[in-house]
Amino acid sequence: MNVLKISSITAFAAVTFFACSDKGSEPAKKPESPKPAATKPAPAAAEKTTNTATKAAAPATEGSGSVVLSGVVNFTGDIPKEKKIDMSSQPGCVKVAKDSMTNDYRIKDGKVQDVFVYVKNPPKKKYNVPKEPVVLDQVGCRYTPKVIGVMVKQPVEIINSDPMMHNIHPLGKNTFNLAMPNQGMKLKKKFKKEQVLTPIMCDVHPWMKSYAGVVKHPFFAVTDEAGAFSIKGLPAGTYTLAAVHGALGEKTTEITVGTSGEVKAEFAFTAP
Amino acid sequence: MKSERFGAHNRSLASGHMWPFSVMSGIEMWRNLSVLLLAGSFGLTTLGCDWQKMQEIKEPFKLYNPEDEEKPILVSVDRLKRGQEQYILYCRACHGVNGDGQGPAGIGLIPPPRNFASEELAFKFGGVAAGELPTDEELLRVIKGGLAGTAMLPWDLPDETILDIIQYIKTFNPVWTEDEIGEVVEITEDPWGGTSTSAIQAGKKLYHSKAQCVLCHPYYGSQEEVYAWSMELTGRASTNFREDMYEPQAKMSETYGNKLLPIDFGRQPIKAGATPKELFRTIASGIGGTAMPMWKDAIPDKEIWAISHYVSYLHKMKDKPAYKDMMAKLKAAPPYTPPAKPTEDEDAE
Repeated sequence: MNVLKISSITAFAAVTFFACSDKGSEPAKKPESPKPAATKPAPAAAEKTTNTATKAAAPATEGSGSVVLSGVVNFTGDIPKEKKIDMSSQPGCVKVAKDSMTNDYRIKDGKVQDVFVYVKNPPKKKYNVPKEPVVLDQVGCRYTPKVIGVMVKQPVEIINSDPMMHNIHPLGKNTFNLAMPNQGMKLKKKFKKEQVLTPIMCDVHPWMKSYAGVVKHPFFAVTDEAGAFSIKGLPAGTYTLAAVHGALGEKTTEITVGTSGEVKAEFAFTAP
Repeated sequence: MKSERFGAHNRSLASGHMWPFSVMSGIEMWRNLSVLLLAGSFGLTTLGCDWQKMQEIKEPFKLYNPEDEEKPILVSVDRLKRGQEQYILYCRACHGVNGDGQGPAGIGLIPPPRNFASEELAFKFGGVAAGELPTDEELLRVIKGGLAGTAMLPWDLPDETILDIIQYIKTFNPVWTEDEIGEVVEITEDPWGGTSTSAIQAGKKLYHSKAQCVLCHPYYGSQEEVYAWSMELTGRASTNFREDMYEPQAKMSETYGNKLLPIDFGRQPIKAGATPKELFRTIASGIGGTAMPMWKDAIPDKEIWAISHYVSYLHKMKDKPAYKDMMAKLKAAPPYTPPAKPTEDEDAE
């Protein structure tokens, strides 16, 4: 075999190789999942509580701090318009729905409701999980409340107050999917994994959307109509405080708390 | 050999004067070309356009141990290597050398082969609560039974072989190291004692009213019948019927990233089987990653069995004129006007 024959066979083989390897390395199609904008898992690193020059560190026992960390989440700019929900595919809802507009941006007087505010890096220890359940209700083919804050393995009581079936279907790390056909039916479930935010949906009524902020510690809150939050018992130290909204995304700020008193924090979201 | 037919341009090729064939005669050159083409096609078929190295197994795989998180259960290298060999032989053509469902024979399949490496791993028919990881025995059941209407054939291989393959498949996804396996949903004894008219009738009424399967799946009864059944079972008559009541409602699956159709039992295959027992399992567990929820404990087992008998009966009509006639008649019926009565108990499904 002469050089030209060898080189042309090699060239052909090389073309085959490269043509096929391109195909083989095509990334598998990834289904899109509804990731709430810019959620980040809480950093696993154990942060040592640091002192500021003027404050003494308190032992990091849970609830020992009597500090009240509070504040407000603000919004500036044009609030995105809510859309009308077409419930005609499920006529039963047309009857019972009290409100058929989306509620993705509950913002009044520049204050944002439904923001999950939490400490990203509290002292790493095993915190007491409350036995008191957090309640999530399905009323008028909507979720009430829109955002719940709950600890890992804390009971969540899910109620169907509607005269028709819903299925409760959280997505992401805490996924399950249970039928709730009867009015008044209650289920007690626990979320096993930390996730901010776990989206919750109903497949029968696809417009239904709510969120759960699930963390391993008790230092979180959900803002109310006045955009206000309040977190108690954080031990002295410096932390990252985050505010996460299902549609607006996440904002963070650094805070330092002492052994007593009040600490204020504010967040500023703008129009997307 | 010169050929006037091909004109002056091709003359040099035919006579062997074109580089790199310039030193060969025409016949020799064509022979070499055919050898090249054969070699190329052989290469293409054996490589399967899937030129990726299969992973090298160097250490045991860690499985989550619910009894002790610090001491994972280990799958030995030997077992993994056995499983890998069998996987490459039987499964890889569709499921891919990296378990991502993108094997050369898998591309274009509907439904696509399972992507074992997915971050949102969800088995549809794992026999555990929808969303949880199936046990080895349940995966064995699905592989041996196949999935009707899909390219997943029933695999007639020894159990040990399949179990080895199952262990190997777990290496594609860290979720098996991090999460515990789900609990298999119990299939209780059939209180109806087998298929009977009473079971089917009970199932039909439940399907259309109390269990509200019709919110996603098609109706198979007239508005007048559904009105009566719902009144009988719940004391509340259904009067609000969706416009597409004789069709299923496509539901978006956030896990799979596309819309899925709740089964029309008289028209489509039922993947995990259409015997009452298989239907009980699917209904009771739910279907992972889809809109179909878990029904175990939502309604009594006896009701799930009744609905299973009814759906099994419906499915027997598939591809038969009886089904087409029934649906045509239902679709042609005029809307039902319920008798005037106090408005108190009228409510939606």
